[in-house]
Amino acid sequence: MHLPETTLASVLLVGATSGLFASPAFSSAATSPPTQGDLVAVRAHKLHVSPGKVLEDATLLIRAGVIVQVGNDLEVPEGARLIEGDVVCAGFMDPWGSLGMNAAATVDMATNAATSAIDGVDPYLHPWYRNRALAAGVTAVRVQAGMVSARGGVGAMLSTAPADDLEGMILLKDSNAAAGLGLSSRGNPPDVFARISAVDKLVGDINKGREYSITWAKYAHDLEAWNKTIAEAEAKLEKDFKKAKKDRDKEIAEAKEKDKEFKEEKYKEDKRPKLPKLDAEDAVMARVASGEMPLVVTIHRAAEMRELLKGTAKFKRLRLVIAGGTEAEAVADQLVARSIPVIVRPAPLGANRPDEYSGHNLALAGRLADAGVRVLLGSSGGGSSDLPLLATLAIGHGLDRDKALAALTTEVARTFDLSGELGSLRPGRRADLLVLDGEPLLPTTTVRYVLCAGRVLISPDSRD
Amino acid sequence: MRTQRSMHTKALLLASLAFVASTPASATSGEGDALAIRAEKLHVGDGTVIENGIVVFEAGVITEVGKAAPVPKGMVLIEHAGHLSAGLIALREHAGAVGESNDTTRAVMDEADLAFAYRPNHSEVQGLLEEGITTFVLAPRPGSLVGGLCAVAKTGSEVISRRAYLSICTGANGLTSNRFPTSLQGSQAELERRFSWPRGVFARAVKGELPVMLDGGSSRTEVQHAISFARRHGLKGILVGSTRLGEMAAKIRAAGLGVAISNYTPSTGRRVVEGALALSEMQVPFGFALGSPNGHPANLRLTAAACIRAGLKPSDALRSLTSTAAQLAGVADKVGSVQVGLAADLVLWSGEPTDPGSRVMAVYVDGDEVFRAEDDENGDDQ
Amino acid sequence: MIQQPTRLLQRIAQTHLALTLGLLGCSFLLSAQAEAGEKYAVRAGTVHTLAGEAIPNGVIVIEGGRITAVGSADDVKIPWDAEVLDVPHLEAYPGFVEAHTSSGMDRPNESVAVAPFLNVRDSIDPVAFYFEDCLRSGITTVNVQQGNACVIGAVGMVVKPRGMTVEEMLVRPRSGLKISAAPKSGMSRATQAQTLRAAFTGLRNHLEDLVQQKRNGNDYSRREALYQGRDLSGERGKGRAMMSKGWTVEGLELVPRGEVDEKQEPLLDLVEGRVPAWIYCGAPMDVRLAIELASDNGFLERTTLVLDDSCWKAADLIAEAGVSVVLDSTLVRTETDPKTEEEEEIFIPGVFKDKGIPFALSSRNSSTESLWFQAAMCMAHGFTRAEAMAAITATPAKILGLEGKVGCLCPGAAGNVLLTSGDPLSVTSFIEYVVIDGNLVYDRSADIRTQHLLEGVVPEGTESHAEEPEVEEDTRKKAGDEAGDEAGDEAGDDGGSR
Repeated sequence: MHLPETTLASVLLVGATSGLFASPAFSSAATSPPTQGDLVAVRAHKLHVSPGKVLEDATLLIRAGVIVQVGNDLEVPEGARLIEGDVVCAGFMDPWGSLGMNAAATVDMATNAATSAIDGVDPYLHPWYRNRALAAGVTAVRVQAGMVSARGGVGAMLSTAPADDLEGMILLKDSNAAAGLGLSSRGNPPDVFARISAVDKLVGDINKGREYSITWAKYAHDLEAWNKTIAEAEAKLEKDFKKAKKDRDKEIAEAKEKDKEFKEEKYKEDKRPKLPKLDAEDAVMARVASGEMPLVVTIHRAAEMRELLKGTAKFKRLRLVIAGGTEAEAVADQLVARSIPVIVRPAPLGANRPDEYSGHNLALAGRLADAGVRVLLGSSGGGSSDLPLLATLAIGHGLDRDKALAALTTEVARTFDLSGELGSLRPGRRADLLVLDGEPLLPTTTVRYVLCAGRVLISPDSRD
Repeated sequence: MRTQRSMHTKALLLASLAFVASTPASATSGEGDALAIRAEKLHVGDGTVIENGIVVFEAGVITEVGKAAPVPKGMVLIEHAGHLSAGLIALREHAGAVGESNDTTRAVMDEADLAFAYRPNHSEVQGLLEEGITTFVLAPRPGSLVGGLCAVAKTGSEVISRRAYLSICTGANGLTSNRFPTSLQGSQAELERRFSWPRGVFARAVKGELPVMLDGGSSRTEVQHAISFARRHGLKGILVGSTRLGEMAAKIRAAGLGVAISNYTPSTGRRVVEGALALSEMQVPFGFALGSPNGHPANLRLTAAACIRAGLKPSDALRSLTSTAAQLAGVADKVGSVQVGLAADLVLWSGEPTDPGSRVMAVYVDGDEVFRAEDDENGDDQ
Repeated sequence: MIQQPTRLLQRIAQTHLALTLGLLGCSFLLSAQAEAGEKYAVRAGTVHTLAGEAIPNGVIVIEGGRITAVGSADDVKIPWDAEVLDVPHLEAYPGFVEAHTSSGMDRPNESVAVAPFLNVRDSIDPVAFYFEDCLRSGITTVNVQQGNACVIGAVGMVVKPRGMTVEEMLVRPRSGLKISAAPKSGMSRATQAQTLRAAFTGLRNHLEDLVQQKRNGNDYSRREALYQGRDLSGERGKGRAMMSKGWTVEGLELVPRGEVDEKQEPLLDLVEGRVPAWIYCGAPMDVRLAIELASDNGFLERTTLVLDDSCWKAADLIAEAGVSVVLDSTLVRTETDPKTEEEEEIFIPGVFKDKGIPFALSSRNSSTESLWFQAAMCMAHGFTRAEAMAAITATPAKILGLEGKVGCLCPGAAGNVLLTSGDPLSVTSFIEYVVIDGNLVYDRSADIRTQHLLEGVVPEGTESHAEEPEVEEDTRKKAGDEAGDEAGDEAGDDGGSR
């Protein structure tokens, strides 16, 4: 019954030394120690500051994970690690992914507008998936719970770099609100009548959100006014107390004289304004209606898109983002006019694709971009590590090369309010960048180095 | 020089003969225009690349290829600022034969000829053209023990080779629960019987005259079994349908079989890609399968690109997409490379053919331009 | 073998009389009233107190259900009026403690997601096989909690597997509120987290509403409480300021405690630290949620985590939070690398021991892989006997807040003693007797079920249908009477043999 204790002890020993008992997700894959004061210099023949803006023979300096300088003929400071390569560009970002999420959370149909994607992030997933994405050059992913449900909740932007804890993974906590219109669930296309009312419902929810913020603003205003009134009244009463007392005594005396009953004057004051009911979902929609957070709507069919655009036209500050947009060409002019970006899924889908993708065409990204629509490319949860390869396919079907690069970098940052930190290689940005041996988005190009916040996560020695 | 010329004519004759022999009844193909195209890079298909190469074709057949190929007077010369290659070949396809390519009531249909199920005007076939696929092997869908005889067809045109493969499935995916046989042992017994006392197509397969398209199933053991089955009965042909074929590269080579690599998908991708590399190292001839309409036609290029990304040489990938695939399909004398005497199945690309970022600008099948990209700035005639 | 049979007979006669006079039913059990002041002594071959050296020829004296003296026969004097269990061939151990189980109830789970107002006392079935098997496996203290398929579950209780009613079984009521960080079916982790947080914000909103009402002079809640017949007397009629380590609601002293909604009250108890929390984690990512929830709402100090075997990966987080855990019955976990498909084996209790996290083991099932089996497996993977035994006695006792009261044989502890035929962690030993609160509650020689199983004894009054196929009877009857008699004789012989 008792196993030889020596073999088990040796298993434990081997386990301990191989980090078996350490949480695998948190063991750093970095080849350089991630101390804060790290100085890194990156030199390249071609440095893509942003798509279309290329510096030749440029150097980029990083300190404490932030880009401090970019230019030609920069001096490499003492003690800095020097990395040299052919081409450098910003790390790719997947704006429609599921990397790092618990799988059940991404297909949960019971989410509501306030469900938080962070609750569905599983830091204990095997690091292999994350490492594949990093090796392909994907340094950030926007994730969502309930990717095909009517209200997906609040999304988050995560870094694909290994982190010590959940906080370290989060780039942006509340990146967006989400909704899904006309999506199949479990292979069944949605009911036509349900689809018709779904758009109205979404517009209604946004309206409720706007009302909610108005109610709360009004409450805050009314409360302040009431407090002021009360304070004034108190002050006045204090001041007039003596006089009021004298008046009262006088009236009592008078009433006694006249043998009448003395009636007290009732004191009237306005009631304290009623506290409005807290509603988490309305609070999220309020932020959407005020433009604080973009609303990512997964929608494919032209008819529904038209309805949605019509219904949301009255919300002047609403920031819509369309994900999917299979038939978005039909409303391209409106998308351009209202500066609504479209996240396209450039994957080659076969005949067994969901019903809403029936008009699927690989040329969509190119055609939308040509019409002036802001295009982003996303994997739709189908594997962030293949996004760069699929982006190449989109290029092969008409998307301009620079626009494809923008679709993975600057457009993503711009859409989710991260332009100041990600997407381009300018001073002040987070040092998420790739060192390549060829132009980005070519299958023959290999990613040599991947840096996240200045930490070297992938290098030629660490690759398998 | 005399011998060269006579060989040249002989080749032409043979080519035209082969061409005539393969086309049934109607001979509408072969009436293609006479054209010459000069491309910045001309990929012959065997690994050689000709800078500023010219290809001349007439009546649907390539007549001249080379840097200094003589262009006959009066012939239109198209200057293409990009690359040119032979049309891509998919080794296992179901396009254009919807609902016709597997029989759910009978497990063994050795005489079923897929050539009769081909509909060249089907929209799915058009989709293939847009991705540069000019030839494909029309195979029955998986689900039968012996699905039938595959045909090699030209996209949008006719069948160029009937009875190219006998499609067999030795794995569990050839079984359905409401049709005999319903167990793996049963299917093995059936196949053994047919091949041990072979008649008809089975006899030809056993002699090595008729190659087989062997779907061994997906797991390692199933593939192992398929390989030994092929060896036992002396079958030649290709293995399809599994992402694990790369792990058996040595065994496949020893059995003298080829492989059609499955599509790249995010979940199976790693195995597919590593498999391709292993097969390449072991020098097992392989092409790419497609399986549309369940897979999108672009998957062919995507799979090749994924293999290149993992380390396969682009020239090897292009070879697998063209000339090796043609060899495996038994139509190397008709299609598969830009060589004199072969059909004028050409694709004009905006860049490297193996880069999925290159656009398909134009496609020629048998000398006819069957596809041109909408916003094409090319087309300068001379 | 029990000595002084005459005394025993006397006592039985006395209690029988007492019971037939007034009490219904349970005449074969000693009633609770007769326990106070009664004395019991165990004289065993070796007494293992698990709080020091083993005592050869040891004696344990139990009075009024509590151990008053433990020592060697030379040092401890047995009172003259004590009933003695003289078993020099057996070894005495403290009864094992099951820190968390969902067995022994009518149904372990509830369809309502947030139901803190339920109590397991309404669901515990005293005659469940589980409690019988507890005695056979040596478990004398059980913490019964609701199952894991909930968001917030019922309030549990600590019981002993002895008694015909839940009240008799009671050791400690309100042993904790069950919470699950792993999703109830129909939810995913994101929505489960949302529902959990919403339950506590719901509580907060409710309390703030009550305070607001009182401030506005609105007594609606009082009228509602009166209407519902809730208790508003004494302490329940008084308001108290909120005492919690997390968030507080100002002005709660204005609200009499009896007016707090019944459905919300258990959560208030939890937040104010009056009731411990048992949080189930089904995956390592749940651990973070559990700890965050507990610390945000101020009850982290009173939280114990009930872990699935995959949660070893979150051991660092658990160590940082300083909570104790109850481990799953699966002690060895195999992890497969998705890339290389290599497998690694991890011994889970070892992980927690190395990180210094107090852990209790739990049974897989009560019959064959009970606590003794879990402890034996730990020893097989390198634990010392002391560590393995502590995980099923002292540590769970401490987690339950019953340190020194159960799980050890020391003065002041409850008189729960196991008498085993050998090493309790060995599969060849049997538990021969179990004493709970100084009463002999289990005697293996009288255990009909194990006798039937192991020895083939047919209980009296039951029929044996084993050896009589009716077809044969018919044919034999046709053949004649002699053949029929033969068949009958054979059946008779088989019935009585081993």
